[in-house]
Amino acid sequence: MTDFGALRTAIIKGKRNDVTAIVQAALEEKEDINRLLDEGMIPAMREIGDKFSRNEAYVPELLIAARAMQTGLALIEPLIAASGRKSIGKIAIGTVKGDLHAIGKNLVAIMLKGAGYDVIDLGVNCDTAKYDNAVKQGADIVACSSLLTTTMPYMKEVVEHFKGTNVKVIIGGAPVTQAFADEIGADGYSEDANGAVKLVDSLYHRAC
Amino acid sequence: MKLELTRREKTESLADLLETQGSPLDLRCGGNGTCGRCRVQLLSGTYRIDGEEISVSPPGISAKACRTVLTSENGCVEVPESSRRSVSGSILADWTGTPPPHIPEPVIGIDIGTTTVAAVKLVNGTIAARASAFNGQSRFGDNVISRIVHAGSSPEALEEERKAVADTINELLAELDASDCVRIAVAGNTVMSLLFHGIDPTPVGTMPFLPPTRCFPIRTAHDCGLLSAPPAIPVLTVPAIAGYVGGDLVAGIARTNPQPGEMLVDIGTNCEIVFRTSETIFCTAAAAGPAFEGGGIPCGSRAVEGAIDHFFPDGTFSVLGGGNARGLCGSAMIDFLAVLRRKEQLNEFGRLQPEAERFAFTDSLSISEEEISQLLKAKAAVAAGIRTLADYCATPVKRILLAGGFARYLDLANAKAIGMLPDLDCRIVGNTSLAGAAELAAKPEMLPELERLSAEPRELPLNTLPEFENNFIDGLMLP
Repeated sequence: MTDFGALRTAIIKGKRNDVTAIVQAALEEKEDINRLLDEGMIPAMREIGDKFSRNEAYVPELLIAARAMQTGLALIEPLIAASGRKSIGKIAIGTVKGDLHAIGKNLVAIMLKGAGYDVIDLGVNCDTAKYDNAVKQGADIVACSSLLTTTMPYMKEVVEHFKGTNVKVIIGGAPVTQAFADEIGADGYSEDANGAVKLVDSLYHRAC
Repeated sequence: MKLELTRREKTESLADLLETQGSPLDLRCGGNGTCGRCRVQLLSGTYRIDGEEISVSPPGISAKACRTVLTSENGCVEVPESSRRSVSGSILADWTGTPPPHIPEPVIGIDIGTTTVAAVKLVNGTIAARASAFNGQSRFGDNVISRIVHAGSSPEALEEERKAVADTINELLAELDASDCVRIAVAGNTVMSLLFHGIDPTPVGTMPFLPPTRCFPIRTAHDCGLLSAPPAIPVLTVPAIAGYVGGDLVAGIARTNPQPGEMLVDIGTNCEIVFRTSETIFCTAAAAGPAFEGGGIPCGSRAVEGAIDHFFPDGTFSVLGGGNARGLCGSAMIDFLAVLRRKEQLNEFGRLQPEAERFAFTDSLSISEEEISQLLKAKAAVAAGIRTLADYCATPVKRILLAGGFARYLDLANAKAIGMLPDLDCRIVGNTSLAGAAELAAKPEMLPELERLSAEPRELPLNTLPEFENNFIDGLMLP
């Protein structure tokens, strides 16, 4: 029997080795992938994310938990397709052209996965062609990250590029602000990783 | 301090207006309204704050001066001491190490830091005078990226930044009396060196972060706008290695001559690291952020008079220059993390035990858990930079040489206890950028050697190494 409570605690405390042990044991016992996600991993990420929103946890704890989450996800990701799990939305995420900072972008990617979304991680230095490729693979939200004031302007090009399509462009990163998002006409902005999940939820019209 | 104001232009910010009246404010975010360091109390007049018109009644409304415009003809504001931009940074005029070369003619070496500019005058191989001041470019932002953005916005803005640093240097030259000086040499990070020469640093702002030039011509003081020095004397510049590893580090390599297994680390807003292996020299830079210099930490301070520089296990502390504590500088923040962790008043994630939102140093100085998390990020960047570079080179680190102003006050045992530095032989080597510049001023024939040195290191972009993120996350925790 999988101890879902122990799995949630291991993720929230960032205990990667414990997460690996619990998930591996569960897979050997042919545990249902959906239960692992819906009763273990997704609620754990939601809990740490909500704590973060309430200022009861801070970025270091979020990063540490997200890394443990990623460790577990990496083990089950190859099996998700075969489990017949229905996608609730597909998001392409990448750090914009000219910028190679990845840690914040990776955190948002894991938080989105942790909320049950399909995420295509395009890495760093992404031009519009890279985002286009992901849209061809079914992404309907494009999330752009930038850590440098010098690379923020490229977000405007991405927004312009997808203008008039069904693709929504959302932006974030340390120097990015709501005012900048409004100015370039982005479909959404979040100042932190948990807010990005809420933003995506609202764009898909899901309850927040 | 209470100030009466008269409006000049209808759109001029209160910060700019105060600057022209000789009351420069702390605009470390570049006047973008994000840091809140330039707050003033509005006592009378009408104002527009972020587009919203207000008239002052009752007096005492707190406003960010960079986002506020005086709309009435006259007004009156109270400028708190904490919002003023300090114009002297004299405590940082530090220089240790081997004695300077022995030449009779006076020469001047200058370290152009993003935050502080330091200068030293050498006569007959001894230090005749030192001076330092905050870099006048600070009003365009407290970090190199803000400076790049501003300089790239127009040729006038580039000239503004060039002139700002030249003005700062001129003040120092006047203080040192440069009238008998025969040569000047400068060292700085790559963006500072480019701006000093009036070269647009825009390419350093985006991938692949290449500087327009690494080496700089020898120019006259007059051509560099150094009007406080004899106009015809030569000004030499220490060459840079890469966009984020500058002449300050080249000067450091020249001064310390790291041996295989030795690592030179300069901790600042940007943490630069140079590591010599048996085959070659590697270098890299990690963005530590301005937390250790007080950026984003309301109780934080630069290492100036009135800053708490050390925090002790019994809750007491020492203050630079004695007097009342006005803030904590980076070394005290590191002491704080180490002391509280040792007493189990902080858990491994940097959360206060028993649960509390803030820790108070004095009645007016306290730090929040969120701000502690900023410190953890800064120390994680340093730790991850050192570890990732050492692992990549597959060479054990024998010794760490700590350069720069921050290291000067550092309690090494505490820095190791919180996991910022590995538990190895660490030596504080002082401001090697300033010392290297002074050495070049005294020995101009070493410029070709510096150019050779600057071409040697292989630059390693940390963000391209997958282990960096892992090491960074490991580094966030308190051992």
